Amino acid sequence: MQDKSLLEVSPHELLDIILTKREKDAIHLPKEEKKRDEELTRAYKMYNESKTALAQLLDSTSGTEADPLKRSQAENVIEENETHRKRVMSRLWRVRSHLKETLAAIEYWSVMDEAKLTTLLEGATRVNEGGLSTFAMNKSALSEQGDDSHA
Amino acid sequence: MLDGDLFADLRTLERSEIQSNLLHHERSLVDIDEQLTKNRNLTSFRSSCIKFCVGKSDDVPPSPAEHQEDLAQATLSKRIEFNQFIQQRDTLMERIVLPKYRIIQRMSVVYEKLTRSQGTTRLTLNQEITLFSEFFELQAMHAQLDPIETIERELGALHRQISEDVKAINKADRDTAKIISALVEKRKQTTREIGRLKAFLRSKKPKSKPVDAGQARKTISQGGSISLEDLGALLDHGGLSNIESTKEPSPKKKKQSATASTKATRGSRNT
Repeated sequence: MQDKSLLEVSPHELLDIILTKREKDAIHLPKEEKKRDEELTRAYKMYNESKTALAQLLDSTSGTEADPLKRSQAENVIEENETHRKRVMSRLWRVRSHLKETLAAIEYWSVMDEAKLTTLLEGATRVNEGGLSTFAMNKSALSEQGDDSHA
Repeated sequence: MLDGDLFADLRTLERSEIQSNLLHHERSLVDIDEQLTKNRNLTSFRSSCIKFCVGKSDDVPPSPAEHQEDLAQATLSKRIEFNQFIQQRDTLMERIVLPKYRIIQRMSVVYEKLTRSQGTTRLTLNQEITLFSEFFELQAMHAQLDPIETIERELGALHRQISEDVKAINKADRDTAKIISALVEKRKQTTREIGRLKAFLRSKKPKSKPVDAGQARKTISQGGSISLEDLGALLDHGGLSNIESTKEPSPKKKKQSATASTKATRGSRNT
């Protein structure tokens, strides 16, 4: 968007854009969630298989010491699969969290009334009425803090 | 005429003529002093004006009542207007803080965040709400800064005008400095001339006291003796006919001692 046209964006226009984006996400995120879920199932499966492989190796050499190289390789595979499983799970949680956030945002933005909008535009109204901008307030708060720390 | 005679030109003149000359010079000295004071006040006013106009002083110099200095006065007014614009701009910037270009930059960033899907770093609802409010506050801030452009334009124009005026005032001040130097020189000459005339008049003053006819008459009436000059003065002033025999009561004679003094006394004979 051109810089100057940003000055002409109205609150309702921006609100519509945000809502559209969130609704698009709400369609896309369940698909992603499903994908991550399947990925997690695969990761669990791989982890369990590697654990079984190690157990079988230990069973096949019952009574005698297992080949240390083969044992170490099997343990490494388990560790790798465990890391992968954790990573996939984290991704799934993140997608689920985004989906939850998206649904909450859709609920919030879609029921926007004038009172809520007035609250959101408090800063703009204050500046339009000749008051301090948030930047100015933060600046003076910072300088006051500086004065206090020096005192 | 002798070489190096300080009073050569005065010797042929009448005393009254020299006195009138002296008076004329004294009057012109008063005139010069007035002009000097006026020009020095003008220079001082201009100097204060320049200091104020270039921002070296915050005090507005009081305009002198005795003379009109249009250029300096006009420049002062311009500088006052300039200061008002500066104050207006500073007040506005204290409220808004960010300049226009920074506001646009920030708006662009906020708009991007709000409208574009950003993969894994999606915004939370709270972040979205904060950015939504910030976007419209930035819009309002930008609108509030609209007068800044006019103020900056006015400031630029005034700054150029003041610079030109200060140059002109400086030039006028240099001219006044020349006038002051000429006046100082003229004052020196006039003072010297007054001194010379006074010295000549002093040298021409009769050394002896003028003959007092009244005193001479009194002396005669008391039976005293008078000089030839006194006699001349007496004749000039009514003659000897109207001398009254108003003998002052003579102080009581002291009883003469039985044995008369043998000392010689002036004006009386010892018999």
